[in-house]
Amino acid sequence: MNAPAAMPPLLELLGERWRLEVPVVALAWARRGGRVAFALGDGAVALGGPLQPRGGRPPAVPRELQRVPAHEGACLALAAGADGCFLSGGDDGRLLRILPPRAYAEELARHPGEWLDRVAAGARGLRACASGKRVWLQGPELEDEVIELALPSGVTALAFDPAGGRLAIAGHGGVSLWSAADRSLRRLDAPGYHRSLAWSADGRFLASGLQENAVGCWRLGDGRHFLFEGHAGQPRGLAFAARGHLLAAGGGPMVAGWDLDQRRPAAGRIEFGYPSRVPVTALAWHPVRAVAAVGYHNGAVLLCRPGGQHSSLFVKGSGGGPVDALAWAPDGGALALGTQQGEAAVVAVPAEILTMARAA
Amino acid sequence: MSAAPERLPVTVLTGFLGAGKTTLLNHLLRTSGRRYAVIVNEYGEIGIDGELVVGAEEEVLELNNGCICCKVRGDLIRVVGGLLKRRGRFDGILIETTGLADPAPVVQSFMADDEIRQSARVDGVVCVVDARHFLASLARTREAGVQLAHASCVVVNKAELAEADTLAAVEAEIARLNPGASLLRSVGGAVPAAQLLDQGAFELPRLALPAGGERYYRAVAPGRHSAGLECVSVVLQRPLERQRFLGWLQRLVAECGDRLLRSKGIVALAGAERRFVFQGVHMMMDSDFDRPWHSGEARDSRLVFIGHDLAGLALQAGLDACQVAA
Repeated sequence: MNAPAAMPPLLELLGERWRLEVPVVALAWARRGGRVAFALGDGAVALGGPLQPRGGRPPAVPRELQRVPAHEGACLALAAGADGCFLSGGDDGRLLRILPPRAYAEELARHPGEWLDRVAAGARGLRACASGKRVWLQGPELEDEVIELALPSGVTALAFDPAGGRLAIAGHGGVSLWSAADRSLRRLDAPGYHRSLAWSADGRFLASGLQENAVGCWRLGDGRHFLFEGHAGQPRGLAFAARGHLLAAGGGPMVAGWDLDQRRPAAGRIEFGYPSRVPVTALAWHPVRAVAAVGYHNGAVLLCRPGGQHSSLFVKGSGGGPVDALAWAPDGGALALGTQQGEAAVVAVPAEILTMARAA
Repeated sequence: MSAAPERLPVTVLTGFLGAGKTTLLNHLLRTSGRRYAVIVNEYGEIGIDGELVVGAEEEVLELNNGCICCKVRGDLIRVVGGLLKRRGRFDGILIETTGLADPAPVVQSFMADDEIRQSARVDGVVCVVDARHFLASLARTREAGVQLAHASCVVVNKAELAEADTLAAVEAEIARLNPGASLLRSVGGAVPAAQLLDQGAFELPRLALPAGGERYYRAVAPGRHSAGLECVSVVLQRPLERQRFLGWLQRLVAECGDRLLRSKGIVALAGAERRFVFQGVHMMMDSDFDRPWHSGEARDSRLVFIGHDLAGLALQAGLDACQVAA
């Protein structure tokens, strides 16, 4: 699965890569300011950027990463805060706020003996972290109060809706939905072990990836639940496209997609991506265009467009271990990736390339 | 594609409270010469000497796949997932389960979860038993038999405190009910670490089954000691017809997976130059064509099933019907 010789992977032309020697656990782009953060297995958070705009040309990617010592053991989770900062959770029980450019780590919460392995931040400034069956919420609108939620099973994923007022909490047997409006915790029951979450951009749909090789999705308006069974593996990189309600999931050798606007979404299942022999381990939709960055178990990253088997473009060839983290800059001008064996990279992706991916 | 790093070996310690799990764990930490991350489900009276010890509350979760015996451990998926993120800083994981824990969901977590399966593997299930109390536990409780059934290695601890005939009876019972498990005697959990590690108990190419000798079918019926646990060993001289056998095995685990705790086999399929090897925990099954049969090697099929109420499964008749005509 190597790029054709005629066209080197985009990373070689327009990117910068770092060999960090420790697994990249997660990555996030700041909501503003052009910075990216990589959470690492040795407890550090490595900051990159800001990207330098160059008037019509692709932005320049800075050469150096700035390592911020954050946690004692490993970083377990990372999220972009509402105000341009990053939030990280670690196995030292600390929730940290990391503020570029000073690269200063401020402690927001400390739960000794707990592993904070799920962290989320909402657009309105709410922050959530989880350990085991407990979730803690804090944020400006709660003032000094810390809300502690007890869940019926271990928390496997946290995700704020795009407006930042509702928090979805995944676990066994369903998903719990906490609402800031009335501080209620509502239960969405569905059998199975829910391991990942994704909101549609308009907040109308909430999807979950199930351990049992299936994807579920709630239409929150009327509570209808859709179940897409028979996935080729455990769903990985579950995400909605920026526009409309196309839901995609990796886990199998191809990306599977379901359009929730169709009358019978399960019947309209599509597949796209590079016909590979290794599973898709990460997926990130472009924030504007109908193009997804797709990461594979062998380290390759491609830009893929639904609706054609051959409309793929190599961002990175294979190597460096499974791609575990993949995210677009908020303006869609760059892509960052991280692998299990410690490769991190940032690639500028010019708008022309995204158009080419359509033409190819 | 770059070489994938070796999967991290995981050793599971089971056994009743007081059998000596923690003592054995500490012995391994001191003498193995390896760095371990330790996951503990309950803290006993004895402290653990490890540098990286993680406590986790046991969380058994049923999977929604139509099989009540397919369970995973939410706590282990979470903690092992977290430990894998600091790879390179330890050589393996030791899991000390609670006294009454069923090892099946522990092992099944490593079979069912894609991410964990790609990076870690259960190397062995070590069952620690107290030589003086084991037969009574086995007769009184279902859990003792279940732990024994899943063991790849049984450590008969506190051997110095048991009468010689008790010790002999314990070891005979273990060998009857789980003939594939290795058996070690220990005083104060002191067994050579090398005999507990690198077992590869769930790797198909390393599957070993006791030679059947001339015995054709041997069912160990539930004795007065074993709370309904049985073991059936079968040796078949004639090759098995592929479709018939695979269909039979699939039906067996699908329909009776809850009663079947462990199944293992090295099978000669008619027309196949390679050994067909399988091993399962309840309904979850791994199987593959393994190495070619050696010339001169007896091409017989050896299968072992451990579970409850196996007599009703008609294993012998089912397997007989899979053989090619003489």
